[in-house]
Amino acid sequence: MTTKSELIKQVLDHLNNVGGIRASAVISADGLPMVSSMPEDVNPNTFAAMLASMVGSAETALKSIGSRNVLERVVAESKDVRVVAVQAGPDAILTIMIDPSTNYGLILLEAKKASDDIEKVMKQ
Amino acid sequence: MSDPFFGVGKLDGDLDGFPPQKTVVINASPDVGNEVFGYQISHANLSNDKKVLLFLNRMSPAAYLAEMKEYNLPANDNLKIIDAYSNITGIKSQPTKNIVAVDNPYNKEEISKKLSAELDAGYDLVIFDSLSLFSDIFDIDFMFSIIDLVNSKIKDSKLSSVMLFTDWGYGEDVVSRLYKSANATIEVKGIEKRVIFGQYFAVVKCDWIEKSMPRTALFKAVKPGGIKIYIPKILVTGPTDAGKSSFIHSASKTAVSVDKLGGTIALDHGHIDFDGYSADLFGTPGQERFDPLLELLGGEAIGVLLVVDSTKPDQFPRALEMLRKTETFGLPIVVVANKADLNGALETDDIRKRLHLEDSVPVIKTVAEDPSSIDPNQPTKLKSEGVDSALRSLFSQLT
Repeated sequence: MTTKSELIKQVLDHLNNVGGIRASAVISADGLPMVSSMPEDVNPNTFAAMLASMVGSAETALKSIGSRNVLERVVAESKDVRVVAVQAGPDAILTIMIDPSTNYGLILLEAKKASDDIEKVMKQ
Repeated sequence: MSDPFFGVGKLDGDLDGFPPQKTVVINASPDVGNEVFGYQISHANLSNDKKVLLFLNRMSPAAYLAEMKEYNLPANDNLKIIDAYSNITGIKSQPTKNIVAVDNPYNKEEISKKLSAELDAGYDLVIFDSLSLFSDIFDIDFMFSIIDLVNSKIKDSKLSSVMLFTDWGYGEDVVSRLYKSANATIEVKGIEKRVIFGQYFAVVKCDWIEKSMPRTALFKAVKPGGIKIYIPKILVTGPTDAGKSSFIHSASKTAVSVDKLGGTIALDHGHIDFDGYSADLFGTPGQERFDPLLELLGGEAIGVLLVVDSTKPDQFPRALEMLRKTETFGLPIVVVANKADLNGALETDDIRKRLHLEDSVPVIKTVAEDPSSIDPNQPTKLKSEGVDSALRSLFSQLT
C-alpha cells in the first residue's frame, strides 16, 4: 500500500519539475513539516513553523477586514526568491519556492492543481 | 572490525554501540510493534559485512525480506534465516543456502538442535523475531531455555543477540525475569495522551554503560527509512514579558523569533536536542491582540511549558486564559516560574495554588544568568539549570 506521505511526495516531485519551481513542501496548518522536497540546508521545522504562522496571520487579517472567502494564498517576495503558500484543504498548506523571474501565472496554476491533489490525498 | 550496532542513531549514541557477547531484549507493547527495530538492526549490520542469523517464527522468510525492502532496509547474502514458520502454515519451507528449514516447528528438540548448531557457525549477530512466540507456541520455560542457550553460546564467541519480544500480558514476573536474563532491555511503547500521538523507545537497562536510565526517544517507523526520531510540538506560552522567548532561546541555540521592539509578534521557534529527545518548541506571543493566533500555535502540541513572572501574580489569570485559548488544558504541563530571584518572587507552592493547578504539576524556578546584562529588547539568557530541569520534567511526563 502506498502511504499518504508517498502520494504527497509524488505530487511534490511532479511540481518540482515545473520550470521555475526550486523546491516545495507540505506543512500542517499547525506548523509541523509533513512532506518536504527542500534543499538540505533549509531547516524544515523552522520553515514550517514560520510559514504556518504567516498563513494563520494572513487569514486572521483578512477576516478582520471582512473577507468572506477562504484565504487562497500568501506570497512573500525578495529579489532572489519568492515563496508561495497555498491552502490544501483545512489541515495542510502547500508551499513552493520559486525563481522570481519565471512565469508566475503558470506556476500558480500548477500549484492550485497540486494543492487539490494533496487535499484529496489528505481526505483518504 | 567494529562491533555490531543498532543502526538507530539515538541508540548507538546513547549506548555507545552494541558490544559483542551481549543480549538485548526489545520489548514492545502489542499496539506498537518492534519488528522495524529488527529490520534496521539486521540491515545495518548486514551492510557492514556482518554475518547475521535470523530465527524467524513470525512470518515467512519471503514476507520478511519483502518487508525489509519496503522499509528500504534490504538484506543481503550475509543473512541466514532459520525458518520456523513456513511448516506451521502448510506451505513447505524451501531450504536454500540462506535458509535452514525447521521441519516441525512444534518440536522443541528440533528447534533447540538446529538453533544450537547454527549458533556455533560463527555469526556476529543473532536476531529472534519473535521471542514471545516461543511462549505462545510452547511455554514460558521453553522461551527461557532458548535465552539460556543463546547466553551460554555467546559467552565464548563474538556473537551478540537481539530478541524481539511483544508483551501480550505475560505478567510482571515473566517480564522481570526476561529483563534479568538480558544485558540491555529496550521498551517500545505508544504515547497515549489524549490520542496516540507517537511511539517511543526507552532503554530501561543497559549493563555496559554508566549513563542514567531510562533514555528515551520518540520515533516513527517510516516507510521507507525505518526508525526515525519523532519530533513533537511543545507549546511555550504565558503572559507578556514573562520570559517565553528567553526560555526558548536559552533552551535552543538555533531558535528564531518573529519579534519587533522586544515583544514576540507571531511566534518563537526553537529546536532542541536534549537528554535523548529531539523536540520543537513553539512560543506564543503574550499580548492579547495576538490571541487569534493562539489556537493555531497550540494545535498538535503534546506538552506545555507555562512561563510566568514569579513577581506578578496579577498576570496569573491571563496565564490560565492562554492555556484555554491554545486549547492545551489537560496536556502534560510544567510551570516555569521565571524571575524567581527578583524581589517579591512567590514560592513555587504559592504559584501553584494561585494558578489553581493540581499538586502534581511541577513548578520550576528559572533565573537570568546575568541580571546586570538584561536588555529589554533581546531574549535574556536563563541559567541552564532551571531550563534543563523544566524540560526534563516535561519530558518525563510525556513518556
